[in-house]
Amino acid sequence: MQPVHLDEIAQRPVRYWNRDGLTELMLGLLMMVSGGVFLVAHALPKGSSFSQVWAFAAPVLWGGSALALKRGMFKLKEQLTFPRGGYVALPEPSTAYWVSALAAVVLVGGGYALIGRGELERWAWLAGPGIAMVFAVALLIGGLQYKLPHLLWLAAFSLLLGAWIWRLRAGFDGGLWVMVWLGGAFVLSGALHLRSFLNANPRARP
Amino acid sequence: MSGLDRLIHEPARLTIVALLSGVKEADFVYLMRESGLTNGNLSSHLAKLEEAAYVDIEKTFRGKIPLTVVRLTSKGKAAFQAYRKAMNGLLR
Repeated sequence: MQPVHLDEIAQRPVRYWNRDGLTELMLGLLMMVSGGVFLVAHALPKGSSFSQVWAFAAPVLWGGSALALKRGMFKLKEQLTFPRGGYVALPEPSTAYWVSALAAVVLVGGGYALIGRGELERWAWLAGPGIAMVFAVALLIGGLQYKLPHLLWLAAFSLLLGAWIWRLRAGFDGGLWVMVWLGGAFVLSGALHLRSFLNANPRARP
Repeated sequence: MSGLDRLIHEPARLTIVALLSGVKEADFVYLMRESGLTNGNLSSHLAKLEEAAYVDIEKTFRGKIPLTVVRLTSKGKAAFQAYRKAMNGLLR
């Protein structure tokens, strides 16, 4: 009789959820939109009418993209993943998860706002390496906890990206470029995983 | 070994319950693929778990395709927690 490894079995649904690459694909697109929205905001001349319009349009664009991408991911899972490998709904995230996510957003957003206003200008070079380091640590933990080796590659890429941006001393924009490039890597990795998932799991005939 | 829940202790049912412990709900196809059980085997184990009120089974349709969704009940969750605790106690 084979021994039953309960922890390994209980982690299978999370691995299955990530096997099709759709989460990475959508997260990558969201990161690219996030970085892109703020890069445009930073590139526009301060005080111009474009800049003022963008200040209102950017949060709407960002929020709309986040909602559309989340909805799109579930639609694609319904169309592509569930008919092939079966349907799974993961548990709702805990309150502790939402509190830590909110704290991270407030911390990063607040830091960026201060850097953007010039109040932390001398620390602006830290934005790129700092964001890259945060992503690398998160990817490392996720990769090890759920045994998803490709997340370790993405963590290594994030560190390299951070080192490259640090060498460039890219300032405030460095963090945004990290988002754009790392988002691109997520999209590429997600697309490759989706292709291999679809090839390995042909749709069952009704 | 007398303190162990015999219903969950059976390896196939333990696999099903452990899989369900990590999800809000899952369908029959997913459970069959991940557990490696045959259609008939999975049905019979699920029937035993449902009889003990450890799982809740809902039969619906997605379009024209039948969909069987399975969830661990609060009684099932408590039984699984108690089983894990008892096993950890035995191994210590």
